[in-house]
Amino acid sequence: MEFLQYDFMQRALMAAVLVGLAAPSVGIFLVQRRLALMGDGMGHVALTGVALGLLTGWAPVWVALLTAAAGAVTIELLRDRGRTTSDLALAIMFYGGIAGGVVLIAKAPGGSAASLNQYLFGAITTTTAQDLAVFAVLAAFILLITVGLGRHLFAVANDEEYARASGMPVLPLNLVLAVLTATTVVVSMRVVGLLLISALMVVPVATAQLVAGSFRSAFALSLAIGLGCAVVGVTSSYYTNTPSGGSIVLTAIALFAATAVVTGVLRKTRRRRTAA
Amino acid sequence: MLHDIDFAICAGEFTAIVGPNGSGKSTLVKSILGLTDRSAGELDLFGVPAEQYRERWRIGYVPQRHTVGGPIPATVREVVASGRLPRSGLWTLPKAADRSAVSRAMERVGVSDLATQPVHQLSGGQQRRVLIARALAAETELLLLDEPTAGVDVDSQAALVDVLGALSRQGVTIAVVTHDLEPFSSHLTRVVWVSHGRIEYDGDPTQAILLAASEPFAHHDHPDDPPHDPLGRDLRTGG
Repeated sequence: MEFLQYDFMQRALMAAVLVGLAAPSVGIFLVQRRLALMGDGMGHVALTGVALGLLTGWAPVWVALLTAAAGAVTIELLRDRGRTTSDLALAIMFYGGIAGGVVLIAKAPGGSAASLNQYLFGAITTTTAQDLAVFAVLAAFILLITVGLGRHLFAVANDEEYARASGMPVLPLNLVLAVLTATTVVVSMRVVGLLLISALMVVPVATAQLVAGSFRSAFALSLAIGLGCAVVGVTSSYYTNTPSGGSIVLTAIALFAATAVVTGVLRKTRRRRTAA
Repeated sequence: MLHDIDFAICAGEFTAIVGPNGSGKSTLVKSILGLTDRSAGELDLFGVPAEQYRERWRIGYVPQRHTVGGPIPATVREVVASGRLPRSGLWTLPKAADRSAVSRAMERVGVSDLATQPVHQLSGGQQRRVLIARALAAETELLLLDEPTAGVDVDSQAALVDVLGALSRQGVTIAVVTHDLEPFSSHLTRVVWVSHGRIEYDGDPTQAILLAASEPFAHHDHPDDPPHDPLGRDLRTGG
């Protein structure tokens, strides 16, 4: 563990652990609602927030959080009132977020596309102690809500129409999930980058659902996979001198592919044995 | 579109709301459940105007869909337990009473032995029973089912109807939306026939089953067709 003698790598690893736990804990409810790309949409909106922060000189992380949360709430309200479909709403977020980010950064003092790179692709090794403290608070908030309200978020994600008919507070719960998604995006943007955030919310969940027999076990497994992939990805990026965000996501995808192959072979073998 | 609908579901009844595709019967149920906005008219739930009613868990809804949920597997117990949540607070942990209500709901529809099975691995009939258990988990007084036998094989249909008959005998008020009266015929106490958004018949099930046999409801499925009266009587009054 030679890399742990460096302070910046210790902080990077801590940040990766926080994101590895927080991202799938929100992603599992998005996947169940068939809104797996919601995190991507939020990432694009957060880009406008980052650019706005750079333009105004305010802390880009907090401006990105406010912008992404406002975007998420708007989308949920549009969905709830049936003004637009989920995929159309996400498409508008994608394009509006990117366009806003590119236009605003061009107007920022000394702004260039290069200034956005650390947010687009992640810059985990530049994480400061102060960043880490903010990420820890936000990640704790995300985990507290997803565990505390987990049964209700599951009920709505599993069957929104039933939840509505039985009088559950569907809109407030959907707004909570939207704000959690925005928060996760902001916590993750320095670790994996805005363009890869959705992968860390979705891929560990996709792997877990291949082997889990219940929603509860899929939740626990997603967090374990997210954590493992974040640690392995950061460690391997140090030794191979590759970007941490891409390394974490490729690790998660490799694990998904391996799990899909193994479960597929096991299923076929079981079917053959049953038929024999 | 619904017009001139005026009816009440009374405690203990086993009602079939029957009619052809597009007749408005599902809209009627969704209106009761608050899933569709009404442009006019009044709706009372347990004697309280629907807009002020806060105990919607007393009405258990079983949707027409074969199954529920997304790609992540959920067990029978997890799905049934989600039906208990409308009765509990957002930040409260499940109590012993909640757990026993969930177990009892599974027992009542005969899915207790499937409690740990992922729902998506069950047959269509079993999944429908799980959805009924979910609706019962809140200790529901009125059960509203939308086409509960659609897409279910004949044997499973019989088992499902037996479950509903048993629930009715235990005092649960039941209303099923269906285009096929036959499977429910031995348990029904009332039939409401909806056509072109209006109630064309409301009354005795035996009479309605005779009407349905002579002219199946599914034949009146064009909005421009005039209301049909196979026995030449005024069906609006049920006479």
